[in-house]
Amino acid sequence: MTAFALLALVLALLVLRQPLTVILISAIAYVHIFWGHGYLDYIVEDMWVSLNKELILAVPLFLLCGAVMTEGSAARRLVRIVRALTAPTRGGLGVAAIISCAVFAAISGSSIVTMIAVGSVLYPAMKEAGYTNRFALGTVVSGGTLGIIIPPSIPLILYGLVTETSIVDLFLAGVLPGLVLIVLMMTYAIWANRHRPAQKMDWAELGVAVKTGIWAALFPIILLGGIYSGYYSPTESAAVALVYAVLIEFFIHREMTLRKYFNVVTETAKLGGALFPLIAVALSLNLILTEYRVPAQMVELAGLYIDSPLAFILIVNLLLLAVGAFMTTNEAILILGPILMPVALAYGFHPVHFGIIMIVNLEIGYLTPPVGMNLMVALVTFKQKFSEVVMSVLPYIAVMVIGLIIITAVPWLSLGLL
Amino acid sequence: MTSNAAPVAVTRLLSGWHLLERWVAVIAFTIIGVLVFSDVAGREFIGPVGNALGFDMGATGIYGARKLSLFMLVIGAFAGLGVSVATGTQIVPRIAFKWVPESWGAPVDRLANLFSGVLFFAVAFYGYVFVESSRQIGTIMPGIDWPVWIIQSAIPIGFASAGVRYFIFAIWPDTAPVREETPE
Repeated sequence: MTAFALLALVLALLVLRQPLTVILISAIAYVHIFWGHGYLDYIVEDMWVSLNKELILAVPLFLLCGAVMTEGSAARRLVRIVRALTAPTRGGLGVAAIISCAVFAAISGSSIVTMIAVGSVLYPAMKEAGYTNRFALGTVVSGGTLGIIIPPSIPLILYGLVTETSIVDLFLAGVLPGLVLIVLMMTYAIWANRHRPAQKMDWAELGVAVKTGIWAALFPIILLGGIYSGYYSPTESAAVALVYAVLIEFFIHREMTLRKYFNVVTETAKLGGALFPLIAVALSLNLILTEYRVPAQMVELAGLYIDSPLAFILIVNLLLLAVGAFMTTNEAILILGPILMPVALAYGFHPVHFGIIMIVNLEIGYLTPPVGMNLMVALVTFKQKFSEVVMSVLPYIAVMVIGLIIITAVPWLSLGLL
Repeated sequence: MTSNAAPVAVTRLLSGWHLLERWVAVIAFTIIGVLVFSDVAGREFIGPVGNALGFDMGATGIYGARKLSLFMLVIGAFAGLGVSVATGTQIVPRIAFKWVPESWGAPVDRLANLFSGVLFFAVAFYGYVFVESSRQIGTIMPGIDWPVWIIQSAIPIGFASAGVRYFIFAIWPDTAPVREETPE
């Protein structure tokens, strides 16, 4: 009975348009009152304990780093290099958009920022070059989603935090699945423009592009190289990358001023203010779930109805695809990560592989109505009708589902580099 | 009947408080970057170079950098809570937005702000209880020997700040920001 009352409370708060932080705090308070000893000050104590994890420091540093690079001209410079490189390909601009999104995602760590930064340059360029509006729109909106699978990715860090999985392993695990998705998307871009003539390679343009964009192009190497070589932890790598970003934007690109920096950090503080209390509350919910053996009970319950790992992963994939259509990625990871991961473990899935499956599912959620974040932002950014944006991403959703099936069926793709 | 627009004194108070929180957050996040970078640079560059040049460098990282950074994160995060409430960037699930008639939108938002205010104030109270017990026990920050309650105070202050804002949004709806989606 009390469990139904908890569900009713959550539904009532959803109807009342409450922030997720409020919903989670209310649910935790309910658990303390009805199933615990009623000591509500434990909620704050758990939040304090939860924030006391060094890995959390990586989140503001990556957010800040991506924001500094986005405020500057890194995206424009990177796009210029990639355009020059992909010109000899049929559908070269489409391929350039996908690769630029992937590279910029490794800088910004954000899907939406990637879509806006790359799309603002390449969407008008593709239309000007005669590509159909639907293809151009679908490519930049879908390419932007690569941001959450290509390391460094805030959702991967959040998954690592709530499931206590190594973030370095998750960052390594994201590389090959990210490449699979890039190759699939590029293949579609080339196939869709197979009748379009390719251009000649312009070596002079490539030289100028590399000269002006080399500092931005080195950024992912510095950022990820430090982590993958074992030289720095993800947190340290984020700090090094932040200082690099500040130095090149202030002194080399000369795109950053103190006033811009203040605004950039304020924007990061806004994101952090939405995210960190939520992370603290979600982690304290995690402590309560563990204390009341909820994950173990979920495993027992699943065992009664689902008898094979294949059936389990099919159900989870369908569940996550549905969840992705209604919840944003961070919400879904913070809430479902600690509940689903122990069950996946019981069915023999590696926590890192399961994390990647979860992230790719939620990545598709960026493109599915009604709350696909990239769809919403694309409406405003590219000033298109909702139906046009939805239609534009349909081929890419199909491509990404193929990618999801491959990534789920071949664990080596996620675990091979560990 | 209350007017939807807040008195000038209230809007001035809100904007002054908002600016203060922004500055606190900016300083806290910048310190995190500087501390972590200095720690790495000391360990990986200054130390080895100094040793190679024959100097006795001793420990070259920043003592307690990670702990201090975490404390700055708590301050920045809870100052950021106020900033995110003030700018409408709190993460709000939209799944049930259409479960109530559109014409009810404004009263529901007002009630929502009132409820959020009450809840954040309740959490601020329990935060105060937690901080006070920490003060009485005399817990100190590892490494720098300061009382830890000084940093912990950021939690109830942040929740109280968010609570006050939500109350003001409920009383004067025009002060409420347009809801933004948090970029992910």
